[in-house]
Amino acid sequence: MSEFSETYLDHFSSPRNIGEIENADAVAEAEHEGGGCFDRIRVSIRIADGRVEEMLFKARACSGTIAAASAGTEWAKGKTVEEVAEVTADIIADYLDGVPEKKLHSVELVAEVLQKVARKN
Amino acid sequence: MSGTQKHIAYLDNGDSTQMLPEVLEAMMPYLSHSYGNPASLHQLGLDAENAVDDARDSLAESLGAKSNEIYFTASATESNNLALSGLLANYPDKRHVVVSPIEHASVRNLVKQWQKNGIAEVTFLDVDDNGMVDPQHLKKSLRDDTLFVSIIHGNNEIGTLQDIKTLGEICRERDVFFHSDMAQSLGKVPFNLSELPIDLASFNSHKAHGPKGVGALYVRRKVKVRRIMEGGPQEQNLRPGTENVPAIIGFAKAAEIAVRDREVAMAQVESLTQKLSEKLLSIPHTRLNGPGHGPNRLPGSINITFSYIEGEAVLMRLNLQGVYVSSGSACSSRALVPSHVLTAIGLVHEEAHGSIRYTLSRLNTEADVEHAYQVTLKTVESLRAMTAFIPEEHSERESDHAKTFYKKKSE
Repeated sequence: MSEFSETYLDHFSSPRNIGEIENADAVAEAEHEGGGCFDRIRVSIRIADGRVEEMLFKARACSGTIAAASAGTEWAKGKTVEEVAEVTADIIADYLDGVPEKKLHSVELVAEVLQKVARKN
Repeated sequence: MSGTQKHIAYLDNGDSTQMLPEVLEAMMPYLSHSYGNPASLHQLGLDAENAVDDARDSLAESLGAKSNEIYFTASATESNNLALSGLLANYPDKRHVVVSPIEHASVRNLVKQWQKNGIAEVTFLDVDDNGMVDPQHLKKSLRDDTLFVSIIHGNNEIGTLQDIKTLGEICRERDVFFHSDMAQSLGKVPFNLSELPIDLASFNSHKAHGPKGVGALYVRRKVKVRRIMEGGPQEQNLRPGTENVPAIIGFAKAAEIAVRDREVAMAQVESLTQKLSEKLLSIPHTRLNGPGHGPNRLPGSINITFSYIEGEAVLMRLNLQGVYVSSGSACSSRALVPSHVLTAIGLVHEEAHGSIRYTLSRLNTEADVEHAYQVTLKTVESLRAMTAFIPEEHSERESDHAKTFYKKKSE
């Protein structure tokens, strides 16, 4: 398991922020389009004073997308909507202390859905 | 794995097995003081040559072959390549070959490359939803210029056991060579090569509690295969390169034990396999991929789709809790491509993605089965609780969204 960081394994094993917000300010979905991977994710967001108060996710996904979604939603908490709208895959990968190349599609997918949900506001 | 002691259930014996102590013991002299090259003319060399000859005799007996029909290689992959490329090189007038769509990559990728480069025409046979080749389709596929048919005996992913006797007889009627990749068969199912209509067969050692780095190719007498590598005259001039003496000795010993103990060992393996399979299939929304447990399936082979979750995530969670398995999920492969075997038997991508393979050996126990089941149950429940994408009939709350999502995917 050495190819995965401790942080990655922690977020994968004990993912944070699972669920769906009732009466969310916005909901967005994304799925992996390239290759044969069919990871799908949905996030919901609640905003207060221009900042993310809560962000939850649900996913049918591989370990990378589960870890990235857990990390991405944790990272987003307290950020401004504008910051989340500009999140990149690198930011999420760094938050996980790195991801192996084969899991880059996961951090890209989570960055995409976070941008989407933030830009709906 | 760090820290506290935990139960490890190794259930990936289709990938490799633990070497038996008797095998290691047989190899030890050739890993230490008996280090001669079998080609050398001094005593150490002669000792090594004799040991390899004895191992060849022993393996031939285990397989039901003659000693001069056995060629040692480095793996079943090499044996497959040598068999098929060696036939192609020897029969330039025959440029049509027939394979099943569920072959190992070493056969599948080779013939696809021939097809792509215009070297040979390839027919991929139909299989049913259990992976069984249709003998009638085979019969219809054979042509005057068909060189060979290659069909895997026991499929490594879904355990399908082909009726190689019937398939081989069809080939024999048309004077077409019949090759079978039997890498998974040794010690699991009874066979005697001299009684089967098989011209070439590939084997390896490490799936049967022997060492890695050694395989064998069986070539029936009078079948002409050309060498595909240049070098010395080893292996009756078919496979150059200094023999891997310790591995060859270990392989022969492992095969001897596998055949000797097969009946008792496989009865135990099959009992544990069916127990685990029943437990896993009691988890809702699961299906067994491949034939039901019995005569058409390799002992020890379970392949299950857990609907609505991703196999790679299951595998990773199981790994963290000491259950070692494999998956046909695309996310388990670097190329993000799902298993060609699972798609060949008709699984849609979502089903292939949720597949997990458990393969048992004689070294597994009741405790392994219970541990694997408990960990799998918890993992599947946890991952399903995370997903929003379950169709209507399985989750009323999520129904509208799921309907839209699945409709979109099927368009």
